[in-house]
Amino acid sequence: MHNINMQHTKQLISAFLVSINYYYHRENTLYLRACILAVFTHFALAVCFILMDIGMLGLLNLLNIAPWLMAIRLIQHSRYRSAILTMAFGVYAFVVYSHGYLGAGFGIEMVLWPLSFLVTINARISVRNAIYFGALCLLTFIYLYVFTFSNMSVLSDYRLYIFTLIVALSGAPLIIGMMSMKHTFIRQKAKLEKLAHFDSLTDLFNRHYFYKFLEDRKQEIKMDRSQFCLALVDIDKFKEINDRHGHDIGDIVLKFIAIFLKEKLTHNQVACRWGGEEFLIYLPQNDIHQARTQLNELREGLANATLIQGYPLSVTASFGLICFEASECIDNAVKRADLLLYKAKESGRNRVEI
Amino acid sequence: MLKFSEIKKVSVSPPTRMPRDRYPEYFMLMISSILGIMLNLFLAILFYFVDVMTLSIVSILSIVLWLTCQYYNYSGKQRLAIFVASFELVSHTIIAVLVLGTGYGFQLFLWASVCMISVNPQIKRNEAITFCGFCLLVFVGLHVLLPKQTSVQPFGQYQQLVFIFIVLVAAMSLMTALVVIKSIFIKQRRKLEKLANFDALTGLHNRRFFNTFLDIQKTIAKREKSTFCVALGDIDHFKSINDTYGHDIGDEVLIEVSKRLNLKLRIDDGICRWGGEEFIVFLPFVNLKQGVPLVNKMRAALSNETFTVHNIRVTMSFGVAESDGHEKVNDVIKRADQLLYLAKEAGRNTVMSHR
Repeated sequence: MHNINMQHTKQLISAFLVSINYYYHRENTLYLRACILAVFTHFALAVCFILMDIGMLGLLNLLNIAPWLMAIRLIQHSRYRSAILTMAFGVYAFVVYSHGYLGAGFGIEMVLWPLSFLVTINARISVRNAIYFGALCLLTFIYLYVFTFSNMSVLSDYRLYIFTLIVALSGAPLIIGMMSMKHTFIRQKAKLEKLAHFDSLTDLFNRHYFYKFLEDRKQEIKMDRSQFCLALVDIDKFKEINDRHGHDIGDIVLKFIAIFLKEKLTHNQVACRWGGEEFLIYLPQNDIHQARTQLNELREGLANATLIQGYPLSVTASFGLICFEASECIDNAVKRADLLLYKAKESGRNRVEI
Repeated sequence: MLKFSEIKKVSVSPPTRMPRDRYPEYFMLMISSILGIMLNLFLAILFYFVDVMTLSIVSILSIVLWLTCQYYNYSGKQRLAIFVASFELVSHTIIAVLVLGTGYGFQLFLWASVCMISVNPQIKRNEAITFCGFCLLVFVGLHVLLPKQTSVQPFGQYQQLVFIFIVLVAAMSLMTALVVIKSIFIKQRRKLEKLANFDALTGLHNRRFFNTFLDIQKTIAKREKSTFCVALGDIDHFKSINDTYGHDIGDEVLIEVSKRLNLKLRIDDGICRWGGEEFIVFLPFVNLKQGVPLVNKMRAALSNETFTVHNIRVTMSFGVAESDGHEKVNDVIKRADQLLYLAKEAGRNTVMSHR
């Protein structure tokens, strides 16, 4: 049992490390793919242009592979910031020379829009650098769109196709980049909420969040003039379990009770880990006797449950159940429940006191 | 099993109040509505004076749409608000380009709407892809099918100036939005790292961080062929402090204990809150002989003076174990735990380093 538990902890740690580094891993593969795609695109373009007898443009496209190869090298050395800037200038250079050579009308200058947005949203580029690069892109765009004219006749029959291709090829990375940003954003938010609201050992709500939860419920019953029940649960002789069987078995007991509570409580009853071995349960029903029968069932179920297969260990718990009204403050109510709990402990444990 | 989504359903706050975690989105939408209203007001007046009545009326309708957007935003329906806003952007763009031609750059607002829709967390993936594909298609269609200039030439020689103005508005508003989103993202990531690595109550590192930290330190010790000590400390009779004074005083005691321990650390030592009232101190590059006096200093720092809260006298017992990095970290901690148990047996407020 001990070994399994240790392995479990190890898995948890590695899962955590992966999740923290998740953004970086994702970033890495995304950039590498973009680089490889760009290298192939430039190569294909070079071949096309040479076949079409526009040798100069073909040569420039071949040269444009160099910054992308450099970016791949930089990514491999984890120098992402330099890699992003290299990639951005690679695209920028492509726009400038292709536009200069082919002239207006092919929509090459449109690439500058997604480019500047992608550089701006990137978390590795500082705001100042993003503004500089965005301004450069904007000014170039205005110049290219307003002050240049169409001068190429070879490709003008294909103007429609080229325009569509360019918009699609620059729009797709924009959408993919923005959506991957959104994806990490949502994941981060969920993780943040989980860390802030949940106890890491038992996966129940933690005390801090539960307090806020109870405040909200208190506002609700103030409006309805109703009441709810609160039960404070304490594991009997937990200190003894810890001392006799070791802390890891103690942890397993806590986890077991958390899972047990989650299974036995109905969907609108919520449990939290209040302190070391204390749990607080929120029961929305009005009737304290009904709550008491339910908790008694819970208590009996817990006393009869086998915690660990083939390990002679059983736990019992004592309950202090109170009825909460809106006029009371939460600290006071918990104190009241604590007193009842104390009474339950005094009168022989494994019981529900109201 | 109680799932997170179900719990969220239970704890949803009343609709009159904005949920706290939606503030950034609410704020962004509000700013863009205000910008949209201002821009459209300006355009309505401008087109009224240059006698393009169609566009003036469209701008006024747009103001109504932006107000609707802000209304939905205010009442917590962000998704609907975003759809209204993007509908306004796309339809306004199409009408403006139909009337004036592509030369004024109104179609460039489509890039902005593509960006906003694909980055918004409220919009699902398929919806975003469909909408963005539609926008790009419209963009290409407008460029290809419509001429650069139509018969309506309200601005004459100032056409280029209007174009530059439109480009600046479209790009700069979007870039500001992206910068704000980015800063929220970075702030969130810092918070996440802090929550994941630090204990909320005492501000010390937490168990999760320390597990990896100790693993790294172990390999360092192994490579440098040195030893390190791990001291596991437990506050004596903490349960009774909690019971007599209450949990909040217990929390304050924990904070003060961590402060006092922190003061006695050397610069490269590490400390973490291991469990409820357990702390682990990591001492690199020392053996047991050098380590025990250091831990003794910490013990003395607690027991010599009474605490500021209620003048409680708090003591702590330690178990110190030495390792050369050739065993598992968990085994070292286990040894320290056994020594701690011996220290408790021997009457507490002691440091135990060997049997």
